[in-house]
Amino acid sequence: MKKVLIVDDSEIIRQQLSRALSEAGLTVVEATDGVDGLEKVGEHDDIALLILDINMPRMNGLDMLDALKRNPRTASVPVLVLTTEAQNSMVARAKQAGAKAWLIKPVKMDLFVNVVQRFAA
Amino acid sequence: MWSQDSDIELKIAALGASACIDLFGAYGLTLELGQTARMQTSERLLSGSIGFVGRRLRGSCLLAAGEKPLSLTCPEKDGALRDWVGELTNQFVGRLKTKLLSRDIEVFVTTPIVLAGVHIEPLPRSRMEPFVFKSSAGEVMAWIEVETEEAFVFGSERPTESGIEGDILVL
Repeated sequence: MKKVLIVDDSEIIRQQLSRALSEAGLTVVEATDGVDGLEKVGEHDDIALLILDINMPRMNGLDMLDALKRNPRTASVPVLVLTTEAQNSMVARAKQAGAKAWLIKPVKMDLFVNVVQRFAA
Repeated sequence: MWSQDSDIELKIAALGASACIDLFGAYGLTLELGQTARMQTSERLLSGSIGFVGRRLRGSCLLAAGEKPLSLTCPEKDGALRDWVGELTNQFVGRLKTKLLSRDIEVFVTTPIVLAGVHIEPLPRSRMEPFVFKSSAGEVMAWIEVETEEAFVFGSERPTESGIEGDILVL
C-alpha cells in the first residue's frame, strides 16, 4: 500500500484527510508541523507522497519543502500543498521547490483523494 | 504613521463578514447577520484570534462561537473543538486574505490563538463593532480591527490568478 505523510498542525484536518485516504486504501502517517514532518520523513523511507500545510508553528510548510528538496534522499518525493493561502508568491516558491499541486482549503474529499492517488502513483 | 480609517475599516470588515458567511456556508451552516453587535448567549464560547500584517495594513481577526455551531461544522464527528475553532479561524482569515488579494492587498498571518470563556467580546479601539450572526445552531461572532498607513490604497476588485477556496492548482 502506498504511504502518504500528512503534515498539518490541525488535528481535525489530519483526521479528516487520514480517514479519506485510509478508506481509499492508502497508509497514512501524520506530523504536526514542519519539524515533526522532517523527523517522520527520516523514519519512513517509503513515503510515496507528502501533503503539506503552510502556516504551522516551529517550521512552516515552505521551509519544510525547501529542506526536503535540499536532501537528495527526499528531493524526489512528490509534495501537494494544502493550505488556506493563495498568494502567487507562495505558489511560485512552492513550484520552484518542486511541489506538484497547490490545494486551497476546504477541498472536496473525493477530488482530494483523486489528486493524491494520481500523484502517489 | 499607523491610524484607523473608519472608511477602510468598514470596507475590510464587510469583506470579513462575507468571508465568514461563505466559510460557515461551506461547512453546511447558513449565517444571517443579526441586529446587535453583542452575542446574546450565556453559554461557553470558543474563539480564535489571528493577526495579519502587510504593506501599510495590519490588524487582527476574531471568530467566536458556541459548541453547537462548531460541532455542526466540524468535519470530524467528536472532533476536538479547540482544534476546530483554530482551523476555522485560519480558514476565515484565509478567505479574507483571498478577497484582499483580489484588490492587490497582500497580508501575512500568524498562527491562531484560541480562548474559551463566557461573554467573550472584543473591546475595539475604534467604533468597529463585531458582526454577530444568527444560525440554526446558535450565534457566531466575527470581528476585524484594522490599522493602515497614510499611503494605503483599498483597490478595486479585479480578477486574480490566485486560486480560491476548493481550487486545485497543478503546478
